[in-house]
Amino acid sequence: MKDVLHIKWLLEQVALQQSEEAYKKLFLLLHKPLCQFAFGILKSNDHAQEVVSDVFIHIWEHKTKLPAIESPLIYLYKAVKNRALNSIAKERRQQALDAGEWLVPMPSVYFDPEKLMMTEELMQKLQQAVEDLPGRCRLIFKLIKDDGLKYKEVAELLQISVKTVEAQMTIAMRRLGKCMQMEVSSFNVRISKK
Amino acid sequence: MSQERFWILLTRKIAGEASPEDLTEFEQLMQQHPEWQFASQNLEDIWNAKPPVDLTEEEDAYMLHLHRLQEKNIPFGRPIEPEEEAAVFELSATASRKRLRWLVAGLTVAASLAAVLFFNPFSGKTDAAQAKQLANVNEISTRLGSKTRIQLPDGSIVWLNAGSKLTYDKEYNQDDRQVTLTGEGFFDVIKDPAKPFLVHTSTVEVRVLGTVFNVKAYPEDKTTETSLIRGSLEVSIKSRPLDKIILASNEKLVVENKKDTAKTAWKADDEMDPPLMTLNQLKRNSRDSSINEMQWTENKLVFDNEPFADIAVKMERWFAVEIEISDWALQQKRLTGTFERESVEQALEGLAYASTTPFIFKRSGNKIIIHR
Repeated sequence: MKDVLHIKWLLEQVALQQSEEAYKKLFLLLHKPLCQFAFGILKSNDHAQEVVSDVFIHIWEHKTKLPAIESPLIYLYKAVKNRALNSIAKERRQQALDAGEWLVPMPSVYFDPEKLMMTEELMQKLQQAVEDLPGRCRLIFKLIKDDGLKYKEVAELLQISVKTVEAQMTIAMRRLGKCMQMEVSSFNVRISKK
Repeated sequence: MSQERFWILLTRKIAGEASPEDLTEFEQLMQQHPEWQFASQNLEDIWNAKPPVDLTEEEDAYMLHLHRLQEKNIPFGRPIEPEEEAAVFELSATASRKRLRWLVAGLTVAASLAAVLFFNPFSGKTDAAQAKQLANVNEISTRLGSKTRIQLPDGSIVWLNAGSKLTYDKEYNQDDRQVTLTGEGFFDVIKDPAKPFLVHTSTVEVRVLGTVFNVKAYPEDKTTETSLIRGSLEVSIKSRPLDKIILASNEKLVVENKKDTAKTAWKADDEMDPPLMTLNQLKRNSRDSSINEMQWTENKLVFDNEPFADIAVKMERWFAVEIEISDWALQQKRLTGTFERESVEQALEGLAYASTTPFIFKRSGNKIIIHR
């Protein structure tokens, strides 16, 4: 999860000190998740990179206004979304897709095997469970887990209700939980047989 | 209680969306269903596990991005004032690194920003100027063991060390910029020759136009220290308001915190009788040319050949503990060390290891007793 305070701090440095270093840190921190998000809309890697780069150019050119941004994450995701949708409309390549159809690269469900004490089998099961999530559910899960957005921000970004976001998140978590619940019981069975 | 409710609450908790009521409800559910403990703990671990960071791709993308900026003829970078080129560069580089680390370390800010409104019952009759002055006072303070960073209305930045207080009123930035400091503050003041920046402390008054400097003015300390990192600065001593001392870059003025001292003496030698004032050069660390006086803003606690008694006072503020050194010789023992993430025990162990006079310490609750 991205640290919002940290991001705000960096934006402030860019605004007040015109700090190139803070600008670079921001870029390195947010480029990938924003590109992944843009890719979901644009279905083109080059295109996604260009949109995100444009958003960062905009940030640099309007740096004095940065401290006024209250929630930097939602601001950036919306900027990427608007630019991506605009560029689609401009090129008249296709009708912009419904948010439910935005492709999402696999969220990085990462396991530290030593710390989590999980079997290979369980890890694959979890990975599979995430892959099997419906498109919109997976997008919401990624935005919250990996990108650090809040329920409210995701609702605003995707123009759905907070309740819907919560429902989708709960579905995702329950599916992951189900994987483990099974593992627990089979583990217990194995022990009791011995 | 339904499983559905359990999943909603668990998800809220893990995603950081849970209210205190949600958390209480969740705890109760957990007690009823201990069999869920394993899955819920693992889900939380999965959520928090972060993949190893590999920035290679992002670095490449950043190069491309800079290239695009250039192609579009967008000026990039900080415009550099010619006279200050070298100094500005060095400062901005170290400063942003340091700020970052501070935040990454998980800054625990315990600052309370209070805008206090004073209502004057005799408002009709009172002196208008005074009423105005009292109308709106901003006060920022830090508890022991915590630090914070403040941005003043003109954009100047102040880091407040532990157990410190900074106040300014709403007149700030009208004709001038006045703040009052108790404790330690590191100031990065935006240049504005028309509006001098003044720091009031109980012993000295510091006047600058736009510089970077540190003021250490804890009332319980023996001295008040003003260290100038860059620019120029003028100090006047409350007890002798007519004398002005001009500091140059990398100079530090130490003034004894004694009220009503009539004696005036300039002593360059630290080893003589307690001096009223000394003017020293700031020492730069030979390794990374960092300056001890600004290390605390980097979340580093630095002791440079200081008496253990003084070190104990610094540690008390830094770690929010109480330290008592029972042995006089130990109190005078000069020690050196730099601490960053260590706990108070780890720091003391480090000092004990490095000290030629061995000592041991015992902690009970918030109090630490040090003896041989």
